[in-house]
Amino acid sequence: MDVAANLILLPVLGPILGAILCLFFQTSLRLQRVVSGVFSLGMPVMGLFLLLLVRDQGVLTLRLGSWPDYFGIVLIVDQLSAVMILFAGCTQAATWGFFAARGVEVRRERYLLHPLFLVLCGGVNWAFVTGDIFNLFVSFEIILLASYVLISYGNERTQIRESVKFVTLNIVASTFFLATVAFAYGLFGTVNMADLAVRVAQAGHPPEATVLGTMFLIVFGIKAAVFPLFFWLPDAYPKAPPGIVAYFSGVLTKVGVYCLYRMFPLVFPDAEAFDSWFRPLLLVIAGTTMFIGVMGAFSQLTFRRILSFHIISQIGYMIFGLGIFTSLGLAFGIFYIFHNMVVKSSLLMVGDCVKVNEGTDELKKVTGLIHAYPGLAIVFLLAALSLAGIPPLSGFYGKFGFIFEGIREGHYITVAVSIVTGLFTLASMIKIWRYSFWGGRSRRTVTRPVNVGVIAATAGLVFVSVLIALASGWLMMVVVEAGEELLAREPYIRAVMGDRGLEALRAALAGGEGTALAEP
Amino acid sequence: MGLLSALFVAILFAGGLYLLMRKNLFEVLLGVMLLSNGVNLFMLSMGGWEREQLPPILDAESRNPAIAYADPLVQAFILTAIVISFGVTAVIVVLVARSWEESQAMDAAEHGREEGEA
Repeated sequence: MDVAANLILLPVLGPILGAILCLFFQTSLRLQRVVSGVFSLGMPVMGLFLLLLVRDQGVLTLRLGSWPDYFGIVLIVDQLSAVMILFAGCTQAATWGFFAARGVEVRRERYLLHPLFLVLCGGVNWAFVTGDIFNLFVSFEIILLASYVLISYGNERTQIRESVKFVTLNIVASTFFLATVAFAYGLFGTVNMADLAVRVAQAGHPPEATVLGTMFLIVFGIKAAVFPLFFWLPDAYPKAPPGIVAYFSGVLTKVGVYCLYRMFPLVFPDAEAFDSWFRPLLLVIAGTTMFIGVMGAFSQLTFRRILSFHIISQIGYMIFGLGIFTSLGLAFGIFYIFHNMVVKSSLLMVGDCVKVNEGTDELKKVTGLIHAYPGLAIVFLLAALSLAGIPPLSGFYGKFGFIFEGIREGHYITVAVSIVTGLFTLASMIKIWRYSFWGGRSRRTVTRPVNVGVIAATAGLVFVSVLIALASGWLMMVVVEAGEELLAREPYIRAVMGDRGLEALRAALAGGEGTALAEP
Repeated sequence: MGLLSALFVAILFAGGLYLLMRKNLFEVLLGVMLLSNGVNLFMLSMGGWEREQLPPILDAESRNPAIAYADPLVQAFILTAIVISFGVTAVIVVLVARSWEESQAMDAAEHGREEGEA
């Protein structure tokens, strides 16, 4: 057991510890901000450190309580997880900046905003590091419980109504998730992902495994808001208070996508099953999600609702990367996930600033922002162009990659859809720009002017997106290795189960009987 | 036993889903409770019914389980799931109570309609 592996716990336990500490300082908002700031600003640093550590030492594994893998809880950080922690951490830090600069009214911030936010972040990081599907379920529940409260935070009437829908839908999804976990356990006798992968391979990928995979696709599809299952998102997210909606839209849907990226290459990569069922399914979902999402966005006339529909559309690209299912496709997908976390959050923060400032975010009521807030306009422009995929910015690399790899693999229709979607994305960004930023400044009274700090937090996140573009060479190297690692499976399985699991997997793949795993 | 539990899971799920589709928020709440119980029973049956349902207690001398024992792992899962669903149910109860306070309506569709939003 090497000591460095214990560091995996820090991104999970840190925020939760912070949340508990915040509870002790309920009377002092300033102290809460400080505590929350330590764990929020520390997270990107922690993520970067973990990423460098993983690149240096290989996959980090932590067996909690030193139980063997088939009994105990295993936490794992490979390059994919580390990259996710890093960029979710960046979003967390910027969101904290937004809170600390009083982006949320003080009378609201008083009511446990910081503890809830920290619990949410801890849950997200837990989902990134966990090695078994039951803990994944638990981490999803932690995320959900925090988000139930946060989405109804502020207690306004429309919020209550939307949160009843949001909660009910998510409970159905969680129930289905739990049933899927039970199903996996009943079929293959394990909930450990690596063990599950080996046992599915040993069974020769029976049809039940395909059913199981489809169930996981539905479960994570609801979280990720893919095409037939996205309906809850555009209503619920814009109702959340400012700042929180930015973190939600940046990170929460991507947790679902991350789980798909984790599960499919690891457990269900069987070529025959994948080509005949999962690949067509994923590609159709990818195409429809992209197109319907962007069409939804195009038809809206509210700043944050447009952006909420764009979340859905962008998820389509990530699913496309998974559907291509080559190491490059996965690599570009991972790149696109973290680029999107950062850019989407920063765009929604701009939307939040507008909403806070003008009291509304309907495009027709808000004009001429560029005269009043040139800084905000520049921030929005950079993020919007990045989202649309204009070359020097970070969105370009992922999109270019999908088109490149999609054509190479012959998925012409989805590539065509993705190009058209890109154009519409640009068009709806231009629409926001034209309505809200250009034009004469109306004489409406400003409800609550945004201060420099809030804009600085947003600008900081956009700066991260520029950094992604600048460091794209190095990051591309990281994600290509991560993609290869995902497809190769062996580093991950060895990290969890040791050589025993590796031999069992190789034997199973070689088609022989193989040595059966010792029953616990 | 397996068939019986499958039947009960089906009834709990069907009842839960039916109640979830209702407009009345209190019935939705009941539906959530039924669903979470249904899924717990499903989990228990996934542990298998063939073995005799006894706890895995080790024999003093041989250090082996004395008898054929029930799968303890699913029970641990269910315990966690019960705690979680308890918390979630509490959140819904609060939401339902709040929405009752706001509009004196238990109807999910009626609620908040007067604000003129779709």
